[in-house]
Amino acid sequence: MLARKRARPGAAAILLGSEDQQVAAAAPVAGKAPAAARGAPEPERTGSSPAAPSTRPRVGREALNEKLPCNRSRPSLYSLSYIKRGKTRNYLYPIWSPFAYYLYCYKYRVTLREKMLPWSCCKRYLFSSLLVVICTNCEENELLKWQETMAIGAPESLAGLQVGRSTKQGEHDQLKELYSAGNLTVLATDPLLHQDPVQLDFHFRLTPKTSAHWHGLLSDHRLFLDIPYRALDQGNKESLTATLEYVEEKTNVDSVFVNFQNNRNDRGALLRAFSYMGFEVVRPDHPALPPWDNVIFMVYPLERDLGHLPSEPP
Amino acid sequence: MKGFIDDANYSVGLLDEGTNLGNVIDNYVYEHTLTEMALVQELGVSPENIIYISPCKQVSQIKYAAKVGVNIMTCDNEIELKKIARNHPNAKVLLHIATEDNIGGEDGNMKFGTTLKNCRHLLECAKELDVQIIGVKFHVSSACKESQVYVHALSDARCVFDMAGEFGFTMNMLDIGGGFTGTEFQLEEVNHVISPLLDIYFPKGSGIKIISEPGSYYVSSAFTLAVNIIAKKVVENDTFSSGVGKTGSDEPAFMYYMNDGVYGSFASKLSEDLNTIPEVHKKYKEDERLFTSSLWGPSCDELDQIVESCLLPELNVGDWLIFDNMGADSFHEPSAFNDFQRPAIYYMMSFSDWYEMQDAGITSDTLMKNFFFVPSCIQLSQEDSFSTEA
Repeated sequence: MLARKRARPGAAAILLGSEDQQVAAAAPVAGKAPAAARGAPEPERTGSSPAAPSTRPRVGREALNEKLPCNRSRPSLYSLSYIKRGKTRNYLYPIWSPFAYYLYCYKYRVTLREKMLPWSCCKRYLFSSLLVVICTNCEENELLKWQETMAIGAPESLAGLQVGRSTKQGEHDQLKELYSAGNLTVLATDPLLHQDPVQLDFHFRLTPKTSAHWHGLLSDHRLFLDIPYRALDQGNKESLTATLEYVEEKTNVDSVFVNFQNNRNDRGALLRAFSYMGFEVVRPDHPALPPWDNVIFMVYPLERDLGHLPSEPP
Repeated sequence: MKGFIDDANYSVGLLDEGTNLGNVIDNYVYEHTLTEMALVQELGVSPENIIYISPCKQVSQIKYAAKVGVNIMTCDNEIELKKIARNHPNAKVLLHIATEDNIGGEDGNMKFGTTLKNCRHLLECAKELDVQIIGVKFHVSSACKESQVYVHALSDARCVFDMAGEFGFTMNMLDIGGGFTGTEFQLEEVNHVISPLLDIYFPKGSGIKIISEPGSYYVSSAFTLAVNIIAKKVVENDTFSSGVGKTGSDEPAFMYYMNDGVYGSFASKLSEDLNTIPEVHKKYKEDERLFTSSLWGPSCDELDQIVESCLLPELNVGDWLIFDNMGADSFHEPSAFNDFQRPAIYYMMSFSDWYEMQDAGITSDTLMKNFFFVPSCIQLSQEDSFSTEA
């Protein structure tokens, strides 16, 4: 087989804009089969990419690991995911041609997010995990894809997700600041709209440059939180404490759910840590849970009614 | 007993049976939740002897603690400190400091406890907020095998005591935490390492109370769990990972489903803390063929696996399996979320222990209603034992 030299995929990953704008810019850098350069016109934007990430410098990954200042004032419209496929037929070439197949093929999917509803359908699940899951569950390939995305001069680290202004303004809610005290800022969708569910984001400033974010969805006295990347760091524990305090005092939530993938290799540590904080594991077929697969939920029940407990010691 | 952590299990009977709690525990009882606090108070422990430890306390719980007079709490960050200061005027705080134990390594650990660097900041905050700091606590988990961790933790604790002295707090309590596994050997080893240090850093005359949380140590070996097999499935041997290699690959392998799983008593299996080794209850012949088997819980979840593969003789639906040392962290309160049915608890004792207890003059307050004799089936010695129902 042809020995294809692996090179940077260029901007193949990035373009998350309106779907018309073609990824001509995304053409992979030389070194690949010429067919790849013309891979763009396919609506799914397949393109061959390097498969030897181990030579990559570690810098990008470290940069990714730092807490990114979250400047999003509104929820992102698009999310990026990719699927790696094996040998794929390249229809631009006849079958006897040496370029008939892409050997490695990364198919990128951009999902348009309408509303973040965890129990509606998987498309939104793909999104609602946000950057968080993509980063936390990434294998090395994915992380590097992401690194390249960032590295290509995106003006702001999360700008990749912040697509250009959408014309469909009405559908996308703006997040307004609801509460700010100490290091905690709580953003929510406009409370006047009385929507259900309400999106709540908790931003906790750890240092002047970094912050921890807990993105949540509030519905019917239950709050569902996505855990941030590196959930187990010290700073995140404080942010969780602050978040839970806010939730207890200022909302009427009865239970706070967190979730994480059940095949994570730090699952044991996460379970121990959260259960030490007061969370308990929810059995998988509980009716309050969204029907997500392969996810463990833990719940922190907030005791609102203390009337039933004895108030005098004997 | 110097201290007792109550979240190890909820069995009231264990606390009641035999002695009055007030006699046994002469110092402190640790609580994680309100119901535990209430439970223990019903048993006669006075609120000064209760310490409320929970890394993230709910405001309502702090207020309840203030109401009933539970004043001692732990704290390891500024937010928690402010929460306590706002809601509990008489709080006395134990600073929780971090230790070096790393379970599962690198950067995947939510470190509980504040670092030494941050301690000074916390002490300043406490001074401003007018909260009393009365001591230090640390916790070394049971998975940590090196006793050097204790050495460092103790020297850190001494450092914090000195710092607090500068700020004007009078420190009079040191809590060395729990995490002692059920073996006496480990306890001895730890004792051997820390007693000289304790004598140097916290000499007896200085009025510092030293306590610990050996709850898991006490209860873990006290409980044995018996589960029933509710379903059985025969599978190809290839589905198991190679490892238990004695049986050839043409023999069948079995999957047994039991009536209790990780969403019930085996909850610590999910966080990989538990080593579950089943024993078969029924008598089987020495030369009976052993098959590769795996044990699963009753829910249909793929995570609900108790034992991945082991060699067991062929069992049938309705047979019992015995798991030892299930005392720690096995009983949880039934709540709306976990649908947990607490298994029936039977108390057992061998005759020799019974006589020993009687000789020592300990009488039981509660009337033992149901007495019956059972032949010894579990690891007790040859004597017969009797059991009472909880």
